[in-house]
Amino acid sequence: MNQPLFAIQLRNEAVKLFSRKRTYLGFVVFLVIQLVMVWLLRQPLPMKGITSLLANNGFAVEDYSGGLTMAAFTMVFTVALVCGLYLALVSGDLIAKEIEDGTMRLILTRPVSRTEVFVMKAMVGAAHTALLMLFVGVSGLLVGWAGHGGLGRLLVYAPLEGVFGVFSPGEGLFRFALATLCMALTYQAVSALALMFSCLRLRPATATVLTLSVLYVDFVLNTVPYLASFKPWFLAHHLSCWVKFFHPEIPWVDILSSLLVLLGLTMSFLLAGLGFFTTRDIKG
Amino acid sequence: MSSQHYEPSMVSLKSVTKRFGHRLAVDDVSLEVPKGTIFGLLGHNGAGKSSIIGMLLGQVFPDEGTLLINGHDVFAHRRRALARVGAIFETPAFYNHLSGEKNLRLFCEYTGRVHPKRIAEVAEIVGLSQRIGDPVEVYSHGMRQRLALAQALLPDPSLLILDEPTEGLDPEGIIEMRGLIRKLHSGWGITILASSHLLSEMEQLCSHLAILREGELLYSGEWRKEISAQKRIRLRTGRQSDAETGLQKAGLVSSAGPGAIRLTSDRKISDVAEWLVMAGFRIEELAQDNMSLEDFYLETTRKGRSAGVQ
Repeated sequence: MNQPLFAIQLRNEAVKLFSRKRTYLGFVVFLVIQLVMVWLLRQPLPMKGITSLLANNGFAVEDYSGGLTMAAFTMVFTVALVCGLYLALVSGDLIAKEIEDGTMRLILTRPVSRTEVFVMKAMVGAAHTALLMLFVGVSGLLVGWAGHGGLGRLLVYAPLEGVFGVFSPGEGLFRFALATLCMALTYQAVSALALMFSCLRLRPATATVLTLSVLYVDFVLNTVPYLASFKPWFLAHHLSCWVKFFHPEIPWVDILSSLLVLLGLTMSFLLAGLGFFTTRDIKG
Repeated sequence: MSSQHYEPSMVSLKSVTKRFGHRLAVDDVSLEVPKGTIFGLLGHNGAGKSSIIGMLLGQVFPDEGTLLINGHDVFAHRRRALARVGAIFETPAFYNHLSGEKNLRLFCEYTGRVHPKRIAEVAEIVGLSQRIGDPVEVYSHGMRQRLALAQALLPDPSLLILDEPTEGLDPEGIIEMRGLIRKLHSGWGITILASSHLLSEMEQLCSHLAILREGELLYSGEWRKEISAQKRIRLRTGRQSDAETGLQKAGLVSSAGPGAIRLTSDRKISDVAEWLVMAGFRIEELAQDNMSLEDFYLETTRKGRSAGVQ
């Protein structure tokens, strides 16, 4: 079997990443969050709030108590803060951890270019990001479906993004799938940011903390009402563009412009990371 | 270089300088490692040995100078330069949760698929056949070092770079590692460049040496030839200082002093004996003084750069 070298390198890089237990931490935490959410939302007090919100808008709670609403609810309120943590943890480790452990020195005894090593790392980092985001969507749907006995209609309420939408099961599933795919794309910027920090002369934990610092400060600034006119400058504003798929009318231009901004940022982070990695000394 | 019987250089450093911040780690070092030798980089911690190895592997960028392996510039033609190079470091680092075999694959498949037969071969050479399937986290330090050596041998290297290969090993491990290095050199014809601060290891292994101090190259060449060329003798007589002065005046010795009497180049020890007897000195001891590497190292570092880089 003659596999191209690129495929062998990529496979091995994936083996390294996905053979580590901490790679799965984000998956486990999201599953736990979803299970807890399902349980909590079935308790009388939260149910009362949801019932009155729906009743005030002329909807019956029974129609919207299902997998779709549950999954969207979990995503809207957790992804921005929780996903960043696990993406930073994994992508912040990709290069810095190998340098800290000494394995990068051994890799670079081989006649392989640093650019190749970086590209492999960036690709598996991107794959992990996409998998985690897709997992969040799919597992949320399954957990919600199992917990509430069906998909139901989709109700989305995202106060930060000013979104309130209700959809039939078919339309809801379509919107949910688009939002999940979009999320898998937007969060590549977070992964690239962490990878860039991972290429600096920093410990892996510092690269992770730096990434989280940028994300959280940006997130907080994005929520300050007085800074609303600066929103297009905040990463969080663009990262949450997937929520716009739950607008009654999908604002395609807004979503595409956010995706373009994020693509530009992702490429910039990757190029900066590549620059740092290919020009730095790697010592024991 | 005084080694006419060796093939051209496997490794060449030309005026290499490296600074880390304000610290000068390698100071204008030029060095040739002849093919087929066991070449030692000797020096205290921080002398610049690891920096030179780092630059040779393209992991540390020199501020000035050129580094060639087998005639190829390490930075301009990395692939060609490192195509048949294996290296191990002082602290062998692996993916601990994976097996030895998986680790070998991960490190070596950056440049192409590795056949399982080849992995079995190198595991056999380093004596890890029985444990190659075990996770590296259960390996002892000696086993990890042998796995590192297996990793270095997989690409069928013509040059093996060993950075402090016996560091941290127990006496048994040191002897095993030394035996392996010798076997690889004599049996496979691999040129070996090893760094160490352990004089006894270098003395037992290396035909050629480079002595470094604070980034400066103090000596480079065939140290045993250098020692024997110095023609040192050990002399003890009743009137020591008179004898030494007389021998110098007679042109039989070039320098004299405590423990460092040297014959002039065209004289033999028998000439000294004859002169001493004729001059009426009672000889208590007269013998060729075989300088140890420790003496040579101390003398070279004491004299500094003037010791002569060949």
